Amino acid sequence: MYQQILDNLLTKNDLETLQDEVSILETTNYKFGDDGLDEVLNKNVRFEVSEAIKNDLRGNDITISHYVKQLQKKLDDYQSIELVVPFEPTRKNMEKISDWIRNNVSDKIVINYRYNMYLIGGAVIEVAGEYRNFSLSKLVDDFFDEHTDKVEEIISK
Amino acid sequence: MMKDFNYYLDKTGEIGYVEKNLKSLVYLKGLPEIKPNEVVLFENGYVGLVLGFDEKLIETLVLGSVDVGLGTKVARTGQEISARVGDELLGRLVNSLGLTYGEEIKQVPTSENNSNSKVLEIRPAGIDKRKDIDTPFITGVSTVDLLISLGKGQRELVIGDRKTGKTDFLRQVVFSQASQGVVCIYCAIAKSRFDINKTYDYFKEKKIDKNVITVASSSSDPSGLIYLAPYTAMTVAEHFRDQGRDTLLVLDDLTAHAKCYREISLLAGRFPGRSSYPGDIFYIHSKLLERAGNFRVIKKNEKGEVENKEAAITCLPVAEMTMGDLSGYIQTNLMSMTDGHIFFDIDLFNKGMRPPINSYLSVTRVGRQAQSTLLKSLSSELTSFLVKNRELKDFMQFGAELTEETKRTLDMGEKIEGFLNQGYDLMVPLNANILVIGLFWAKYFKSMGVDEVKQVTRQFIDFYLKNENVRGRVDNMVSSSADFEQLVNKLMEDQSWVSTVIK
Amino acid sequence: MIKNKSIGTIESVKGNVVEVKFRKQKPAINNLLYLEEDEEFKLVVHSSSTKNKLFCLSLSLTNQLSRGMKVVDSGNPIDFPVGEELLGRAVDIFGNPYDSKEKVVTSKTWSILRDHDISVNIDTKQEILETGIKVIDLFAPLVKGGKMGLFGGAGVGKTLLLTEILHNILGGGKENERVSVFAGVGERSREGLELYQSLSDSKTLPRSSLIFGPMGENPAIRYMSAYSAVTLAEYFRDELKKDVLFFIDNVFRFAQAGSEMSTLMSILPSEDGYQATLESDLASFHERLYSTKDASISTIEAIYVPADDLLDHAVQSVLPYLGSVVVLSRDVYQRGRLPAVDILSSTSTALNPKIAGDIHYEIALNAKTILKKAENLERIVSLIGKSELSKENQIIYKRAILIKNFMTQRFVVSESQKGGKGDYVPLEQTLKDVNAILVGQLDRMPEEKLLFIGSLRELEDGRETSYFTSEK
Repeated sequence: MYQQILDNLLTKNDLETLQDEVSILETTNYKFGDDGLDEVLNKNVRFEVSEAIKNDLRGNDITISHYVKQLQKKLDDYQSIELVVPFEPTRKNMEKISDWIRNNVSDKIVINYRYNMYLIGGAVIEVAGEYRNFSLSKLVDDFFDEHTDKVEEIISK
Repeated sequence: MMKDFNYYLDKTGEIGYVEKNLKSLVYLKGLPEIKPNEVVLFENGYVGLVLGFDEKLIETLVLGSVDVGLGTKVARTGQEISARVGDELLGRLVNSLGLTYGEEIKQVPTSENNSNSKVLEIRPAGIDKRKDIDTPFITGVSTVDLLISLGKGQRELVIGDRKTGKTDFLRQVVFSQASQGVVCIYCAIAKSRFDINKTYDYFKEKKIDKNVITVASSSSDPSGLIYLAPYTAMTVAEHFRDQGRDTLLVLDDLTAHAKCYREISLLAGRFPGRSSYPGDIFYIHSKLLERAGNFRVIKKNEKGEVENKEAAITCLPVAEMTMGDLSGYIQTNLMSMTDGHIFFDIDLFNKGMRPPINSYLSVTRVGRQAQSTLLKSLSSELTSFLVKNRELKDFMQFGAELTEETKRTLDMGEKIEGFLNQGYDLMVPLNANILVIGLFWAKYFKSMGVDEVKQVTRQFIDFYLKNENVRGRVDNMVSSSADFEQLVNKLMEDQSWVSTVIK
Repeated sequence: MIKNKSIGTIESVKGNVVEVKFRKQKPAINNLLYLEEDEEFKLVVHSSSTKNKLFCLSLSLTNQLSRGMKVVDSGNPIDFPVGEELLGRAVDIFGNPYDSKEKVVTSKTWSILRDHDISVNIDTKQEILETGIKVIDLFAPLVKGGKMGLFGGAGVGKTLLLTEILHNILGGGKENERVSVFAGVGERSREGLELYQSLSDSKTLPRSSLIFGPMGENPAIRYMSAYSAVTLAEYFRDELKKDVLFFIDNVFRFAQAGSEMSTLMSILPSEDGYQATLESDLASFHERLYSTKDASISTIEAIYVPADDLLDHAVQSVLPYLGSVVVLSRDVYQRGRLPAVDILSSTSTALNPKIAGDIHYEIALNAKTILKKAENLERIVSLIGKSELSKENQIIYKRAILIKNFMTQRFVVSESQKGGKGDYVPLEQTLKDVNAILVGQLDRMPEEKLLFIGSLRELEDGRETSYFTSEK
């Protein structure tokens, strides 16, 4: 259960949108009980998500309110990290990256992608205040710093 | 050379964001291994000082006059707050970080980028590094040098109402000391730009600036800079002390400093205590003032030999009073940290006395042990005389009949007060002071009027300063008299040379 | 038995208050903690903050602390080395040397925050401990084993008076009888140095221990220094069975240090902004300074009065513990009468016939009565002059001034400042002399002649005998 929904969580934006949707579900369920479910699912929730939810509810003996609560709890456990990249990543890029993270780090992580072309290549990663610069531009800068004399020599020729 | 924001991001491997903004105080999230008192760098180039932190947020003082927006990136520098100290500061006007005054702060001198930087927060030395106070500290102001004697390494509070001439007096003292080669540091705390420049120009005019450093923070500066100013000034003083040189440190003024710290604390949500000052307002000043005193200094001389020297940081902190009330909270706090106080009386000021120092209400706790026997006995005589004089003046109010003796006492009292009303331009060397008082006791001025006495004494002092013979003779007379009585006797025997000097 | 040391992590730092999270076993309140990566960096557990977290006080500069750092519980409260080796030494709250001598090594250490044993024999024998200072011995005498407080604002002479008493009492008494413990809480280092030197000069240093927590240190250190000193005093009393003279300069700073730490822990403040626990802080300190049948602790405390406000909450909270109260006033100080004691505000529970004896009691009472009457006449005198008083009142007024002037005294410890020798005047002599004034023998004496003398005998030897009426 929940796997289909969670597998689609790639970015921080995804997470926040989902959290909003779940919140609406909860309020509606509280107000109108199980009857209001279909309407909300059609109007206020994205198609893929609502399909996934319907699948989950069909296959399992679980009340809507309990389902929603559990889902919320799982979402609260998620952490977000920042990834600054010198290109606009496609959905396929993001899936690949998230896959790798799920397999090697944790499955409770979403990514906030930021764009900065000056990195040229590589990426900058920020996790809980920790900052690491793995960009190509840094490599180049470092190279020049180390070999300033040689470079000057070459230039003056 | 200042390293930039990205350099620090890469070097420390940590990043933070501004989450909350309370004007001069901002709260950051991130930066997991931040330490208190560390310097942080904002991405827009401005600098911050970390005060403390909890699990979520970091309390930071912005050391710039710009509003740092929410979401601004912040990097650690890994360096503790420091200021530039060093011989190159002599003659200059600098800000609370030891950098050129007036420039926006975009860098912090730290051990990484400046070999002359020192951290601002240290523990004051224990008793094993201190020495008792045994050398006189001459201000050049007669009232102080004769009646409220100070010693090198003493901490003496200068206290008085607004606009009673405290700063003018302090400039005078700086002039006296700087002319003798003492390194003087004048710290302006939350003063107006106009006053700061006026004071700095004064030092240049009087040609003493090569021995004076002005550390300034103006009232329009961010509160973080005002808060740091006196600590920087003290750190600079310690630099020179460690070289074996005596220093004078003027902190003008600490009541403004207290108010600035109160502002910061209230913004940071600290509970207000008495008069809304934070609970540690005492400690903020005590840990600063305890760094002044007389110290044993061990240093290597040019030959590499270890020398045991004595060097003092004499401190003159200033406190402003309201309406002559000596019992204010901050004022009494400061009095209990200092070794006495010089009282600037608004009544005396209004009566025209310059400087308007009230010697009865002033106190010195250690100055006397540094006095010579001659000066001690003179001081004691002069004090008793002035007390008696004052009582007689009060008595006069009842319109009672005056005896001849009373009239004479009152007359001499008036003339002495005229002499002590020396103004702010005159610096009187100690021996000249001693001799003039000796002349008073030797009845030299008996037949002169008050104004004539003032004129004559000025001329005499002038001669003392300019004429080597006169100086030599006076110095001789003073050093060969064991106590005041002896000096007076000598003067009574032979006054003719004095008249020739003056005429 | 090796206990697994409990380890916590640092969560927040504000001023010198550090919040540490202990997930499993929590250290006891008052336990000493140290940084895992630097054993020299010490903290003390103060109180709980929220679940699993404790407020701790850092005893070093906090510049090296960051979140997540590991803190180890030593399992014990702060220990102070106790033993005769402490005599003649000046140390900090841990017993580390402040004088430039070698480290103090003792066979025992005691925890400084121990609960006192209330079932112990508390001795209530009452005899007066002479100080040699006229105004104190006469009007606010100290009882052996009792407590005396010297109250005053800034710059009125508390420390000077305290030091003089220390010299006078220590100097008297037989060699091995008394020892003294001096706690310098929140005072100037210069004064600590001067005290050390003057004790050394007067050869009383070998019987004294000095414990300093000067004003330049953080509040936790100032606060603890009082307790370290009390612990040492207890050791001398209980183990060595010696009479102890306990001096503390200045109790107010102890209360103030507590209030500083309390505001940093955001504990709701009490009256005048002081910590809620002010009364119990003062109690836990004072209640340990009791006497047993084997040995006594006589306590003399200097108490700073902030902003000259005697009604300040901290000042008022100390009063209940004191038998003898000496109030120094700025007004008296500015009139030049030193020590600047406000006689009418000063009292002592020893001033009753049972303890002080009938003679002492009566003389003190009569003297105070005259002073009180003269105070009432003061207004009239300032308006229309002494000569307008009735003959009887003139005598009262004159005798009051004679008494007040006679109560001035030169101190040995301020010889370097004031010049002239200091005086020690035995109580018996003081009583005799004051009595002479009361019965009118000095009614013709010019009042100034009584300023800054020791006993009246000094005048008898001089030219002033003519001023005495009737043979002595």
